[in-house]
Amino acid sequence: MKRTGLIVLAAGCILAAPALAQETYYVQSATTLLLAKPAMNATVLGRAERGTVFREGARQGNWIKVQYNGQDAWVSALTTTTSPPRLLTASDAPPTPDGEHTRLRSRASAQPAIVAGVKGFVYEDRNRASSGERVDFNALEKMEAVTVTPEELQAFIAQGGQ
Amino acid sequence: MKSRVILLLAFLATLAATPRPAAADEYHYVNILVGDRASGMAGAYTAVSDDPSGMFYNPAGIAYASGRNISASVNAYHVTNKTYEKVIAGNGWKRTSSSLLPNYFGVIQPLGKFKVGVSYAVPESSLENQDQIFYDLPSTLPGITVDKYAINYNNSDTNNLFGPSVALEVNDQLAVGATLYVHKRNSHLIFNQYVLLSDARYQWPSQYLETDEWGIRPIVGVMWSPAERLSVGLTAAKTVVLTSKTLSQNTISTDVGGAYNDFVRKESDARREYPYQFKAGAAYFATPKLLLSADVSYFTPEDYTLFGVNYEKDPVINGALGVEYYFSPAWAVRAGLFSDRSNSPAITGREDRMVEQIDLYGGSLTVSRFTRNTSITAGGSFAYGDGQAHVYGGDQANPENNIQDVSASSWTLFLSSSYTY
Amino acid sequence: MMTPRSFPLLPALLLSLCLPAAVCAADTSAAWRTRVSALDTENYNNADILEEVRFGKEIAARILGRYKLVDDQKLQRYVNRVGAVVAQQTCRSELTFHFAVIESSEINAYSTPGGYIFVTSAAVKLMRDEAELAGVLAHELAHVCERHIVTELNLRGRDESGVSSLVALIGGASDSAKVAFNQSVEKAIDLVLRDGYKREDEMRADEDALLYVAMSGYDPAGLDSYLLRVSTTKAEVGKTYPRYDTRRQLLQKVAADHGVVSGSGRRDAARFSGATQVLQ
Repeated sequence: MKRTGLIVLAAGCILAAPALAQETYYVQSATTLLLAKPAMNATVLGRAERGTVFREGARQGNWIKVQYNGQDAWVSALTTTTSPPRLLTASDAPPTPDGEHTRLRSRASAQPAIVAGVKGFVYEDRNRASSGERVDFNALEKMEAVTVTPEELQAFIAQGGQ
Repeated sequence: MKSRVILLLAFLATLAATPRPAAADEYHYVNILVGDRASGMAGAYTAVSDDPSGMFYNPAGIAYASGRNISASVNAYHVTNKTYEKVIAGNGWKRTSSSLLPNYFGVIQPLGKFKVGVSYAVPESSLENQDQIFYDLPSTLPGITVDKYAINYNNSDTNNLFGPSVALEVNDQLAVGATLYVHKRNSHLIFNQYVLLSDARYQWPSQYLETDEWGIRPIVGVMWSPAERLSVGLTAAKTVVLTSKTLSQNTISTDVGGAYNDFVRKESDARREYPYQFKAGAAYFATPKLLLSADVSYFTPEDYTLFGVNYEKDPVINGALGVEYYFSPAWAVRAGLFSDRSNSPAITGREDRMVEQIDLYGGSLTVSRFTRNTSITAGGSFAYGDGQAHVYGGDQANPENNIQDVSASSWTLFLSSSYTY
Repeated sequence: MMTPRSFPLLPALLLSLCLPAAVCAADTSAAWRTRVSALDTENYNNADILEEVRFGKEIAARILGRYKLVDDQKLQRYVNRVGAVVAQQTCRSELTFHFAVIESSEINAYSTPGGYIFVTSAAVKLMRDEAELAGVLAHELAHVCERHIVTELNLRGRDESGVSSLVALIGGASDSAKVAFNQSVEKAIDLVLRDGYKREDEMRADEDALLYVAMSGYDPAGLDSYLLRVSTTKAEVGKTYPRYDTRRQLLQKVAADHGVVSGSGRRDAARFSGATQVLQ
């Protein structure tokens, strides 16, 4: 009986789930709201920009509880992650120790070439794709050519609200 | 031939027709642990098997393999030392074996509702060597001693398996799978002895034995998950030899009892019978960091005849325990304990050929390093055992005098890698 | 009294393995098998993102191979602006999202990993205002942000560290990567265009979409009014979409749980009609 008890204890120890620790959260979206309560219609305590760090964030469902100006505030979990904002554009990429930065730069500018270069096909050939699937990289280029500059975006938002 | 030659030394099977010598593998079913993850866990893998190593242990498990295409490959350096104590007049026999080989490679790929794969395994490989010279031994002739007795023994035995596997996830809790290996086994033995008597007479027997086997080894398996985080696996396997060619050649040259030399060559198509292997395992995936697993295997008895010599093997039960623990997403350690018991019946001292019975027990330990889609593993396993053998002595009145103490140890180093796309 | 030698180790161990077993039904088969080294879906690095974008381009090109882009720059620019407004609220700040309206009589929207989002002309024709468009785009954005396809296909970037090179040396990896990539693309096409996402992924996307819409200042009622209109127009649901009334009920529950108030926020119906004139 004692031995069975020991086994149960051992099994229980293995199963003991680690307590949920507080984590550091980073704001990923352009801006995010800091709310007084975990509800979209709560009082807005402030705004946080991309890159803002909350050292002791505790996740509760879709909300992160953080400290803001000495009081509790809630931030949407959809706008934050536990790792710092990633930057992919060539101009933004910070230097990294293992030279990833250099590769990043070359990849960002060479992406259309990579896309065309997969399987060694030339751009035109890519339209005659394998397994009879039609592929249109020209249309993709046209799609990617439509851009929205930050100024255009601000103007668009400003014109809205009717 | 036997009637014309006087045995100078009471070695069994020295001059018998064509004995099956004490081959490294003949008595044990666990030789080299196979698979990069499984070898770290002492082979306790029947209920885990969710990566390419699974094709060897429980093909049903590969239905749960994550990732698209995966391959894993293992390179092993395997050394065995066997010491027979007090074989002749207090002198011991020592045999060593070492081999360096890639002993597992497997690839898995989804195909519709199934997972298919191909693997190559070398579960047994030994290159056993003995090179010893003994001086001043007693002989069977009154008043005459043996000045010199030299042994050159070289035995190589390799078992290759290669073949496809398929698995199907029947529902969330059940998967079935099968592997069909082509079995190829080659063994070569050269056993050369030279006996020089004190009166300058000599005896020089030399034995050559070669076996080439082709067969199949089907493995069928089931993986069942009766509750969350718990997995149970069952497998059945048997090697079936389809063709076998054994060649034996015995030469003898002596001037004891008159000058005599002879050369006898025999061939046989007799096929070795392999036992059925049944395995049951349970694994508990406690957390994403911790995995515990246990295996039990049962091998049925064997009974077959080769060149008029009868070979009988007892059933064997082996067990293994394994654990895998991740310190971080990048580092993991695996450890395990296993048994590798002998299928030899108890030594009586009355056997008419060389036999040994050594139960080996061992453990394994490996460390793995993970990156985004690769892993590299290094480590080893070690096994040790004591037992008994009858390689010398024909005392019919007191058979217990014919039993020698044996100890054996083996260790294997692994270096393996795996790759996920 | 059990002596040490007779203590049945193996049965005891098996028993201890069974003791903690939950009585509830087992989780989806492979979920608890995944080890920590493979578990990271939250933490992905730049190599993963570049792989995701490369992958997404392949799928987007195939979608554009099947459906033509609506040839109206004004419409395409408009849809990209609305999409950008919503995308500002997402946590995939490293991606550049691209939106497009494609010609099709099916009422549908698609998104690919890496941020390529498509809405059919039939769907846009059915919408009444910008808030409804924002809702649909938000749903597709949610699929990208939750990385549903990437996780489903276990897509990862290639690692070029020394460890990986050593692994390639021992294990001999090669062109299989390219083959695997193409197979993943085909599987993803099936997911996007045919089989659809898992039900729980769709529900998750709806939940996230409502919050994105609210956070970007649009009227969250837009998504609901659009779904209502679609359910009366579309005969069959197809794919693995939950039924429309189930989706609307979920949205109402999410709104209540998160303090999302309908009726407040922009609708911008006039701007919407002006931009989508070419489709009317």
